[in-house]
Amino acid sequence: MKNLTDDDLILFFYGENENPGEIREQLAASPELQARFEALRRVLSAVDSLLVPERPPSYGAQVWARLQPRLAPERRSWWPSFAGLNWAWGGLAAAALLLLAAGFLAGRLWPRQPAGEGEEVQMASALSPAARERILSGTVATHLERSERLLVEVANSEPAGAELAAERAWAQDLLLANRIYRQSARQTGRSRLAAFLDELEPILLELAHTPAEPSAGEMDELRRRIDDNSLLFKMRVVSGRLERQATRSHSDPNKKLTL
Amino acid sequence: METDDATFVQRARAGDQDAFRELVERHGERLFRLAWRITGDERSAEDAVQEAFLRAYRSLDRFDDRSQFGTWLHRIAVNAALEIMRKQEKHRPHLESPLDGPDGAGDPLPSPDPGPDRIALSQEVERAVRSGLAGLSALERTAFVLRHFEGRSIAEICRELGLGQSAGKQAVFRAVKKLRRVLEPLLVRQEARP
Repeated sequence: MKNLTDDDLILFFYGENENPGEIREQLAASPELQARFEALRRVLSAVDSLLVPERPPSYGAQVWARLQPRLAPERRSWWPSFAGLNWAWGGLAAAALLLLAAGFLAGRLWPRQPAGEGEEVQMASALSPAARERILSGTVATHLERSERLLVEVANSEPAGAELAAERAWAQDLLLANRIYRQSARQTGRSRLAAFLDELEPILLELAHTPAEPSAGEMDELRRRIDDNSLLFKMRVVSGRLERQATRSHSDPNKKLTL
Repeated sequence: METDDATFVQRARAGDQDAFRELVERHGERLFRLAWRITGDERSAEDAVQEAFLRAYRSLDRFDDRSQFGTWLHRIAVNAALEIMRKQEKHRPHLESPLDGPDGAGDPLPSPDPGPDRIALSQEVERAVRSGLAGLSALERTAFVLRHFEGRSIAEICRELGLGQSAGKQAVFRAVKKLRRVLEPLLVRQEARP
């Protein structure tokens, strides 16, 4: 009969020992062993005192309320993806798209537009520089939130097959948008924002070109890169600042932007 | 008669979000209890619950109808909670056990001086349990929660966590030993009180 270890007693406590009869015999014959087992039993019984915080009866409904918006199919093409943005600024976002695509570039590069130039540029020039910057801040904040969601998904899951293909398409949309925003930020002299978008671009690029069947090592490397650069943390900070800038009162339109 | 999970799974697969909502409402609280025990933190547990349902929804096509939906969901939730724990462990290594000194010696708890009433004693024990669980690694804690609270056999734990039999066993053993180091001195002190 072998001497019983603590591990044997743990297995016995949980009913997983291969020879429970043998253990019972040894326990009955040895007060020292009984004391050891009793000490273990007391500890494991004490663990049962752990109280789980109670949830309200409506908990399931609360979970659903948070979950349901995330179940909507992701929009995969670039143009429709803008339709899914949170238009907190009413019609400003539509103007933002036009501004970003045409206004910032055309308007800034060629400030005096010849007669008959497109309506977009007229819209762009109709807005003050401060309004344009607020629009850019709001649009980039939303872009960063979406990018963060993608990175969190990649970092926390093992996507494969259709799911991975969807994430790749999503990354392609974000990559394209990121380039436009970076260019716009640079054009408007917001070099810190441009630098941050520059930092984000390589990881979006990598995600957009993930192989159809990446190896575990490749996925680990991606996750490591997301983690190593504290990218998620920076995105939350930058996105928060941009949101504040975007909603800044019109009474203070000339306050210098920090990003 | 109450409709079973399998019917709701079939409807959810066909795109009926209300059917999935029913599954969320049925299993949400159970998943929260599981995730909270693994993570020890309400916010992390909530995140794990969300993540588990999201993954389940996206993987409904891969769910084998011969299995129990609750069991499948449980497994997804365990892994979601474990991943969250591992991330936290990685980013906050200082949260690793304060009890993991080289010799495991010393009083691990902040030596409160509780009154003699039983409520205070049980609160003290609960605090010690939380402290002890917080000192476990993500894997040890998950394996222990599955064994102790969820009643899973070690073989089942190994399957859920993708571990070999020996690794699963050792994770549970280490967890129990660490908990003993925290709880035993307290329990002995309590017994010695008049």
